[in-house]
Amino acid sequence: MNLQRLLIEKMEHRILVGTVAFLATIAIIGWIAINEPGRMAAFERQFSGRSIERGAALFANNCSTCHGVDGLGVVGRAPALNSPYLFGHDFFAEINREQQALEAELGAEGTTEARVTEIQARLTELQTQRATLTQQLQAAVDAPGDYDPAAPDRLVNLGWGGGLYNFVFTTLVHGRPTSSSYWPQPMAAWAQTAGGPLRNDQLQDLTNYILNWDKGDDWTTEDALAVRQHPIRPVDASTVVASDIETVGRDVPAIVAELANYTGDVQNGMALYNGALACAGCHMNAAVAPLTEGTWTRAETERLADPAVQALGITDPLSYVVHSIVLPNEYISPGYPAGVMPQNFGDRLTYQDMADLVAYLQSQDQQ
Amino acid sequence: MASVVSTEPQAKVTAAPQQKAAPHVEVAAPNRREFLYYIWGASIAMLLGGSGAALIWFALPRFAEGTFGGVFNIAPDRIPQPDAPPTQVPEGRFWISNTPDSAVVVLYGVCTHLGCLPKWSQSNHRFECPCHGSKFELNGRYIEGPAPRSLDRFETTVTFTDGSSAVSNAIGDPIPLNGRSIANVAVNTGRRLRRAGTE
Amino acid sequence: MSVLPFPSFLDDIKEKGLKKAVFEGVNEVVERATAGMNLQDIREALRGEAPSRKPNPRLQPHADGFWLHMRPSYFHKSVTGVYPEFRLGWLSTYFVFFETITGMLLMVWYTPSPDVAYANMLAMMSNVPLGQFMRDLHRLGAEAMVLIVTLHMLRTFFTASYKKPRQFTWASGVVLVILTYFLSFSGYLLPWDQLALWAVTIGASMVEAAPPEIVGTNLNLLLRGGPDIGANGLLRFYLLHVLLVPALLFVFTGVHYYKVIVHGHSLPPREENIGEDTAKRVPLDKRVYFIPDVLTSEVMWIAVTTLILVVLVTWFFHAPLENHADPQVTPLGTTAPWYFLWIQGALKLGDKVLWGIIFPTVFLVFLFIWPYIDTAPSRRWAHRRIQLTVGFALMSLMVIFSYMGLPEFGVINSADVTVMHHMTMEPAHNYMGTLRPIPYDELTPGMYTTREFHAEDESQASAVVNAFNAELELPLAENAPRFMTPAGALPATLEEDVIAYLDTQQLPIANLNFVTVPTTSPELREVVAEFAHELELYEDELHNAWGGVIVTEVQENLKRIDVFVRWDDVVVENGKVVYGEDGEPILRLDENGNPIPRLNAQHIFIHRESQYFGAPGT
Repeated sequence: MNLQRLLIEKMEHRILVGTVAFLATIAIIGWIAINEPGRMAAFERQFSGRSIERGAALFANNCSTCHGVDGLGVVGRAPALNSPYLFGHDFFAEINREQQALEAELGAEGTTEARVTEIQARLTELQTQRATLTQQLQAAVDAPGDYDPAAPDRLVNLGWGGGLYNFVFTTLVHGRPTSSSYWPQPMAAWAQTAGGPLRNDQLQDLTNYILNWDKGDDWTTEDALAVRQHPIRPVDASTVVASDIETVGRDVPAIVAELANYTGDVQNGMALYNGALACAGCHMNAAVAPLTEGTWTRAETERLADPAVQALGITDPLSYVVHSIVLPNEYISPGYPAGVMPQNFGDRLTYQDMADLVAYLQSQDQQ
Repeated sequence: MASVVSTEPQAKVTAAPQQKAAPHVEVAAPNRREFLYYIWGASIAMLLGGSGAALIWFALPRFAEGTFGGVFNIAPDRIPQPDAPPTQVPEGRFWISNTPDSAVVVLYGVCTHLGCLPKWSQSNHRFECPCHGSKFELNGRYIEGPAPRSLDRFETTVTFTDGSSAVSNAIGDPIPLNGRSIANVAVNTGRRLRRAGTE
Repeated sequence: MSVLPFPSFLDDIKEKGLKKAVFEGVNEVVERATAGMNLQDIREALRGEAPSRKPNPRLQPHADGFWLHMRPSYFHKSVTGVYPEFRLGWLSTYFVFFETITGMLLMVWYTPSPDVAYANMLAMMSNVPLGQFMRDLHRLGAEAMVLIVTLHMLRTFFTASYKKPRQFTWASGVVLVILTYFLSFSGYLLPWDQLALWAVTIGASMVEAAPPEIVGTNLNLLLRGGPDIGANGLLRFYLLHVLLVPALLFVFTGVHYYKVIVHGHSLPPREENIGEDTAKRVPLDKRVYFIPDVLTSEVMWIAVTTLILVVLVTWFFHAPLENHADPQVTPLGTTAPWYFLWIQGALKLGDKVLWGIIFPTVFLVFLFIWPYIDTAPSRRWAHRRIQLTVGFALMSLMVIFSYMGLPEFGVINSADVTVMHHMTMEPAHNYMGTLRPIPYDELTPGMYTTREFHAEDESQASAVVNAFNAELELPLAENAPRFMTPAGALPATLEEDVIAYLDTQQLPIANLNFVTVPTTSPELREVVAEFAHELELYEDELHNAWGGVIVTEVQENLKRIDVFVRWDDVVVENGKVVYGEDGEPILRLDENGNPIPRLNAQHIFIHRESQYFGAPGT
């Protein structure tokens, strides 16, 4: 065996072969080490690409029925995800920036006369641009859902603290159990941990796919106009508390007396109850809060007989209901936890709202 | 014949003295100490055997009654009437159906397609999967949709008030009640029975 | 001199001078560390000279040292070359340590939980320097170890080294083979990808078949830790892989090697008389001393083996990592690891208990007791014709069974699924769908059809495609069966029929308008041409078939490719087309005598960065 004679039989050859092998191994590992940062980055890119592919397949199978194959939403069923609104694109950002800079310059001392004229001309120009843009976006504003180019960021409007990835991922995990007040049916929870069918890595793939719609600064008005259904914005509590609106406060006898001047609207009451105030979220399930149905009868027959209620000086169902709304923690219905119901309805409700709510509750009692 | 049989032992007896005697090995009876060692050895063997059994018991996954993977005992009042909407037992991930011809079947409540959870739709009188729209009959049979086969079943033992009982067969066909009234239904969620296709 | 050199060191310096004192101190430390060889002895060994003092200091480390007391101080000259051992035993031992070390390093980045195991893999690949290298080495080392250990066993068989007095050495070796296979197999599950889950599911379901049922069921539960392979199963396989099996392997390696030393390495058969065993009586002139000859040789062998492994993992081999394990989706072509293909092949012969449990058990028992069956004294091939025939027969059987174990063998898929799977399959077992490695920019959005390749030559292609488009728009006969019957109007044309079907695949298109594959997309063109060719290959089963490939842009850097086949249904029984008397396949007809159309579609998404390329077999 020539190979044996060459490599093995002579000790010097063995030493040489061993040395060459070790040196070559070291050299190759060194070569790998040099390429390693590039390889890791390439793997990262490749993997995120494949993650988006898997997410796309999951989206087509699971989400496209409600959100549309192209993610532009389905009217009356679910909002668009492929939309500048979700990604918080502000079409006016550039105009606003320039306008602010110019206005600051205008207000500053030492601006020459000529410059002022120039600035004012430019400002007028910007006004025209803004008007044109507003005009262009009008169709999107008119489209189903609440799109407002002046408040262009969905996450800001929702008051969401985290990033968009977390928002999408979390929504996928638990669905939208409360969205039944806006949409015909709630969004199911998709995570296996929340009782749904998908694993966390699949939800990550889906999220990566949805975020891949982001065009960054390249969103156009066409993109906004292509959207078939915008999200519906929950009523913002802060707009209700605006200072010029008279709220009911917490003086129960005064409220009850004032309510005599208002006629409640059952439909409005229902909208408040299920929507803006989200009472239904708790009161539809007797585990967390007393049921909506039968409130009036229960107040009359059970609560008013309770010495604790009598001690508060409440003698009629209307006072009891109003008291329960504005001062929820003073009396807790037996069997339910304290401190769950928000304490600030007195600051949020107008007399009309209160009248509507009471009318709705009364209407529910008759069923 | 008889003579042959009777002569043979005689021949051996006579032949025996002529053979060379095998070397005799004296085997002494165990003495007291040796015997005690044997007993000790036997006790070690018993201990090891017991330890082995204990080890298996320790490592074998255990499903408490009423947790998924174990046995659920269902009281008769939770068994629906024939053709009535099925009862859902969420903690066991199953539904109990009673077919129009009065036979009980326990269906694994996870869609055979992608693992979503089909719901009973009373208006359409069928199970409907919310994710991809597979439909199944009250007895779990596949109707339509992307699912590859009928709903899986769990092995069920129905005990009747007259003391008799019935167990599901290998493909989990509904267990006919034949007019007997149920005392208990034991559902073994550790044994899932699959059916091929739309059977 | 005191026990420690140091306290008297200053005195020594005073007495002998600094240089000499230091030298003597070092010399003494070296002699103690090597358990008997001082600097002079070591240099003599390195220079290839005979030892200058007696007793021979090179034997001292074997007598006094821990590590070398396990090794013989000299070997017979005849067993130090390549033949007869090919160094396979030594390399097997090396791989035990190689796998232990790389395995322990991988443990740094691994958590045995289904929630994070796969993410750990990805993190190791994308954010651990040399993470992929280490994973590849461990995986390739495992495969190599299985191979080397098996070859070692075969070598022992063919040189009849299992014969008296080495019967028990062989038996302990069979235990080591089984442990090696199981060690490799138990590591399969840990990445928690599809390959892992399904290979192990197949393996574990064989355990479930063990009779009687109560044993099988409980063994299965013990192994998996639950009704299915989940968190408990992964943890158990992990513990088997890193604790129990390695511990057993170390113990049996000790037993095995002890027996090797006690009986000596068996000499090549021709060097001994029949029935003789002279391994322990080595004449002085045949002795090759461990220090330095055998030691040098052994280090050289592992140096070369390591280099080969490093070269392979750098340029030729990467540990597979498929998609995340999904208990709901069984990939097409699921297969056992290559060294268990023989069991998978045997299983295709029929009964799970007979071929999955009894056959492998009988085979292993047979291996185990073989030296107690073949007790003839001669180790020469000429005297072992029957034994060698049995050995070769068993090897051939294993090869045939392994071939039968390949997923391609004896598994019937319908032709449409096979053709489309060939184009779309996810990367697995080093294969992937032909559409995937097409460069992203070549995937020009558009609709392409296999009809294009029915044209006589390329200049006709455009006309053929246009004619086909026109054909699609012809109204269907009143009573012709439609594939789709949507809630609204019945599809009036074949085009509408196909569109309605594609709509159920979430591909909304307004009309079907095929074009020829642009010349700027040669690879796409090749794939569509191959698609057309495959439909022709299956023309009996896929009667009158035509296929379509639709590329659409979904997102800026993401394209979707839909592949579909439409054909007239023929009568198929047990995966075989039934032919009529005229030799033509029998068409399935509806009540009006029209052929029944069938349509099947699949789609994949391709991202610009996904980089599916370079896999063999595409």
